[in-house]
Amino acid sequence: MFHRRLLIQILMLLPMASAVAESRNEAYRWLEKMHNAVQQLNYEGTFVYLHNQHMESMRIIHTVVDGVERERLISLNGSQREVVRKDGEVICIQPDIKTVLVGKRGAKRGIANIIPYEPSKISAYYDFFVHGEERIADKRAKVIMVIPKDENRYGHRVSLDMESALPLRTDLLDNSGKPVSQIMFTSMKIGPTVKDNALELVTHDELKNYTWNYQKPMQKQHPGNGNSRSRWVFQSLPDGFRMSLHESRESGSDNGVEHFVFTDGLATMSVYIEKAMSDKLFEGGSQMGAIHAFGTNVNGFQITAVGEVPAQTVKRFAQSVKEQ
Amino acid sequence: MTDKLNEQVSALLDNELSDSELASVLTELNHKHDLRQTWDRYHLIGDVMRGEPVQLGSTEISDRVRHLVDSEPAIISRPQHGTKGDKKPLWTRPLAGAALAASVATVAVISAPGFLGLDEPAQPQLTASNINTTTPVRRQNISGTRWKNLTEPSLESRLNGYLVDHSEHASPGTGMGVMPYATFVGYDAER
Repeated sequence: MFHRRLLIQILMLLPMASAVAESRNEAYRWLEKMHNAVQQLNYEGTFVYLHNQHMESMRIIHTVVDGVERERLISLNGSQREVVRKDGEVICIQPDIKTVLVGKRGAKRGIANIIPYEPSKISAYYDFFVHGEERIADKRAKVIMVIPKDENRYGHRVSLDMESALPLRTDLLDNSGKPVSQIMFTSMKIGPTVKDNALELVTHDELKNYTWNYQKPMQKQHPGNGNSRSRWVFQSLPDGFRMSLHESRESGSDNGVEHFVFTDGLATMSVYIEKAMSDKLFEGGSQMGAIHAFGTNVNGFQITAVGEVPAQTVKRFAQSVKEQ
Repeated sequence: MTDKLNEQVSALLDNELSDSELASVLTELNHKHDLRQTWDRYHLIGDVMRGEPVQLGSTEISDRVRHLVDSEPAIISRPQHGTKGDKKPLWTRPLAGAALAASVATVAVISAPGFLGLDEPAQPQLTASNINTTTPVRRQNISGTRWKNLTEPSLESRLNGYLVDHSEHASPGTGMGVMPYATFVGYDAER
């Protein structure tokens, strides 16, 4: 198995046990810094995104104004897809299919809404190491390895800007150590001078002819308080994944959607359950980039698991769903 | 019309008014034409948001949405973090977003009621990809979807929706906050 092998290799590079512990602690600190930096700093950069011999380039602009995050992600090649994420709303523009998807968030996405980053819990399922330094986007970067202890999650190799701790390069690694996807910045500007002057979404001429799809916001249910209103249970989930969120979106008729989020502290995955429309079922596996999805049907309900985890994991999640 | 009344109307829509407030708002509703319009508009936005997906196609809706946006920028710019803790209706936050979206939607619907015509999938590999053959076909050059093994556009659309929802919960501590969106924005299947 890749992770064991790599682990041993890394361990061999480290002369003493205390050095191992120190390396782990340092890796923790870096990851924590990254966690904060990604949300709190203003930055603008261009990166390449590589997956399965597909290469894309994208631009990201992230700003925080009065504590409110706003982020735009724009495809620089091919169709000019764009995602605008801001307080309470996500707008996805897909010129190739002339569609705009507007997602509503029931609540502001803030620190409190984010799955807490808990090194102590993660360490049960991953090993962490500092793995040297490198230069990316003309910046010095610290390389952190995050190696899963089993095959239900991906590994990570992240290179963090030594000054800001922003991830300049992120590789998602499968169980054999091969990159599933890679993101690498070629330029990055950081600091308060970064402004998002381009919220001129509205002036986007082309948008006139697009189809607009709106999602109703989800209502948060409370996971873990015994009498959850859900009729669904999850049996024999992969180790370490626990439900971090349960929300539902009701529709006029009886076809609301229930959404469950599971995390092991690092990997995140979602299960959606809604009444199956008889002619539109999704069964089996699918994939887009590093995202896997798996659909099954249970008692007339469509179960869909989706997340950045290996194919076997989404499958296991989808098949774990039982009606109470 | 005051912001307070606007908020009360929106609260009324959500059944979040106390009895006394309810009485006074209903009285106002009876007497004030523009307040009734507000009520209509909020209902419209509610309808728009409840549908999933909703296609805004009629000029009537467009006119009404445009009117909303033109005449009441106050709704768009309603402070989202203002009156905290009090009886602030749950609606206000989504509403602010909805109005903004509506302002864009206005642009979208005025000129063309955008039917999304879809090609018949080339080779459905998953079960049950029954296409709705009554949908007018207008779009070309799409064979399959950006999801592997998935050729049914409505399923793609739903999966995209799931992915967007899911992305909101991906941990940014992993740098993964970017990744799902990057996948969504950037991933071009061979076509």
